[in-house]
Amino acid sequence: MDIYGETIGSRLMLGTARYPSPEILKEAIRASEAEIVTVSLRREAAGERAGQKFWDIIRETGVRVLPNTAGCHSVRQAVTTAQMAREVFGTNWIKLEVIGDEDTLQPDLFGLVEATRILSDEGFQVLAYTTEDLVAADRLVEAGCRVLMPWGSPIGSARGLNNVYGLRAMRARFPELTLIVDAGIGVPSHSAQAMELGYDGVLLSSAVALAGDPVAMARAFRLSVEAGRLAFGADPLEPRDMAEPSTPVLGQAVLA
Amino acid sequence: MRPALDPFYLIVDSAAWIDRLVPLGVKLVQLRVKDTPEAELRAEIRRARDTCRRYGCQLIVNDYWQLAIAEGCDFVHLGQEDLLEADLGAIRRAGLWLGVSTHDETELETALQAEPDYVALGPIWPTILKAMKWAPQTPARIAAWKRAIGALPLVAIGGVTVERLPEVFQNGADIAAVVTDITRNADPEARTREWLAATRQYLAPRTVGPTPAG
Repeated sequence: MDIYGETIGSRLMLGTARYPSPEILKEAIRASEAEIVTVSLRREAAGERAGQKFWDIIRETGVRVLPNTAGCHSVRQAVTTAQMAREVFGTNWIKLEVIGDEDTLQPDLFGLVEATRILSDEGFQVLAYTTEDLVAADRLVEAGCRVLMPWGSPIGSARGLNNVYGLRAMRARFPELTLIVDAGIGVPSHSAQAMELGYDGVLLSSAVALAGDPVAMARAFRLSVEAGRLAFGADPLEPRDMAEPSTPVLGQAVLA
Repeated sequence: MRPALDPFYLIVDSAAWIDRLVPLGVKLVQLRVKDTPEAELRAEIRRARDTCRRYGCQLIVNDYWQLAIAEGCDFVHLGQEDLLEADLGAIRRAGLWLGVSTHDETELETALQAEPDYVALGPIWPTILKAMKWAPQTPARIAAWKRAIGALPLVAIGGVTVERLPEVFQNGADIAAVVTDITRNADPEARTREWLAATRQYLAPRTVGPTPAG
């Protein structure tokens, strides 16, 4: 998987929030074999080090961090958060979220395009959390974005891919871009489906963190992403309406 | 994540000092041990590391970067001579942060080549600690250094006392380092508390730390 010219071995990216314990987070990251995890920023007094324990765990796993602007509702808030994240985490990557609707946590596509333009001009490499809207995707690409992250369904909803047609169209429309399904994944069949559509990767969080056994679920998702990617590369069958015998009938023994 | 550094930077020559003063609330300390056999050095670094972890204090190991890596420390300080000999690639690969001493413009250029995480300038005032070939820098030089390094944290060192702190910070230093004003004070604990009280107002007004995200 290519993220702004860097080749990433794992196609599964993992969130880090809401795990039962830091130890389980660490084990789940290992079981997922993810190479990138998302992190965010919180204000703290200098020297307070509230985030230190969390940071130590991330550091021990050796993964790369993808800072995000989770919870930002305005362009200004998202841009400022991104700038602070670059300073703190020392990376130009930013997963850009500009939330537009409280109920669906749907991205504000207008604000997203504007923030993408500002940040790209400042040298950021934006991974935009977007919808499957093709016009918005075009605008994001014009604004400098090279990694689009369309939602499967609303954040945390575990509904899987709500608009398979839309995601398929997006893949077809942008064959050269890195496309990652982000949000709404609930079970491994969802992520396998995204990969079968030809998506480059999947980002998920609650599906693992809130599962009864997050470590086992992390492994399940790792396998599903691998399976889906293999299937995509193996040229799968198209569904058809009528049966087609899977056993050749030619030369069948006539037993009458 | 580059750690947020406390404006009060204590420099001591033994882990015993760290055991004694870090529990008082010091959040940034350098262990500067000289001319000690390696086994003893290693023991000092381990002890300092453990105490600092317990009290949430950032430990910075002076000079001995291999030992710092081996003992799981995450921040080293190098003087100019050390900087020339050190394997910066190895230090960065091990994920360590780096502070560098400077005394003049040439040294500053050398230091910036190493992409340090802070730059120290000294001596600001005459220091009784070690014989220096450089004349005191004067506080005005702090401002010049700060202009040169921008957002990179600037550490002022050499003859800094509690009384001189306002001048140090007003000229643009982010961090004040101290040795003798504390270790040669008749009451090091009391002096440490005075340093703490005097430097809280220079804490960065808004720092951010990492937090889990979905």
